[in-house]
Amino acid sequence: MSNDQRKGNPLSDFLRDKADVVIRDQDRPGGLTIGQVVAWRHWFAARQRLLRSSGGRPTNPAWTLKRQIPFAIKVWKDLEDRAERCSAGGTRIGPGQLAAFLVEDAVQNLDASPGTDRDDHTNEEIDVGLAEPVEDPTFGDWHMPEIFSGVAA
Amino acid sequence: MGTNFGGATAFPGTGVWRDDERGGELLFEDTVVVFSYVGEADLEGPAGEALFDFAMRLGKETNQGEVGIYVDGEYFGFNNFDRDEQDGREEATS
Repeated sequence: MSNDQRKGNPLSDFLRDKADVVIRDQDRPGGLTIGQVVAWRHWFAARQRLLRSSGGRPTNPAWTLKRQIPFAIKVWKDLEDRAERCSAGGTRIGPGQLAAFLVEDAVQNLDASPGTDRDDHTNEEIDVGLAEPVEDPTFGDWHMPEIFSGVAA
Repeated sequence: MGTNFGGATAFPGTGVWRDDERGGELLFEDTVVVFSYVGEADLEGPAGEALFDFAMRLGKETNQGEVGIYVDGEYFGFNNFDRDEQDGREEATS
């Protein structure tokens, strides 16, 4: 059911005009349960606290390298849609930044083992012998986590 | 919600999130989910304004990051709890 076809009710119409964030159940295949909505908002709010802005798009200061990584059009479009919904809360986030959050989470889960610092976002202690930072106008001041940069080489 | 919708039920719960700025410390917090089953007739009138005012007050007075209202498959999140003061300042300067 599209937005235009959705039958409104006075309460939803009123709240929609006032809300800072609106997430509709048809925005994701299969719809959203209230638990999924709360979990999604919680996940993003926790990561928003990492972002800093110096006037441009907010970025995580711990991200120190830029890398170009190809995406399938469908995946990039999905990231754009999700980033747009996340940005409705105030802090602007780009699809690349959202991808970086997801990659960091995935990598940390892969490395989860006794003695591994899963919550180190500084990247400074990771020496993987990579190249100098690359300027990439596509992503503005977005930086690829160093731990992942070798994959794109 | 009792006044506007005829009744409501609150379920206490516990939420958790990982604070990466504090070394991945897990922060637990008490949460409350309030359900109210509403007839269409009660959706008319001042209910929306009252619910919105309550969400603003709840968010500001209890220092929430966001207050969410879920209606008929749609989530409405509110995180700017100072909008009345901002509106007032804009009116004063215009």
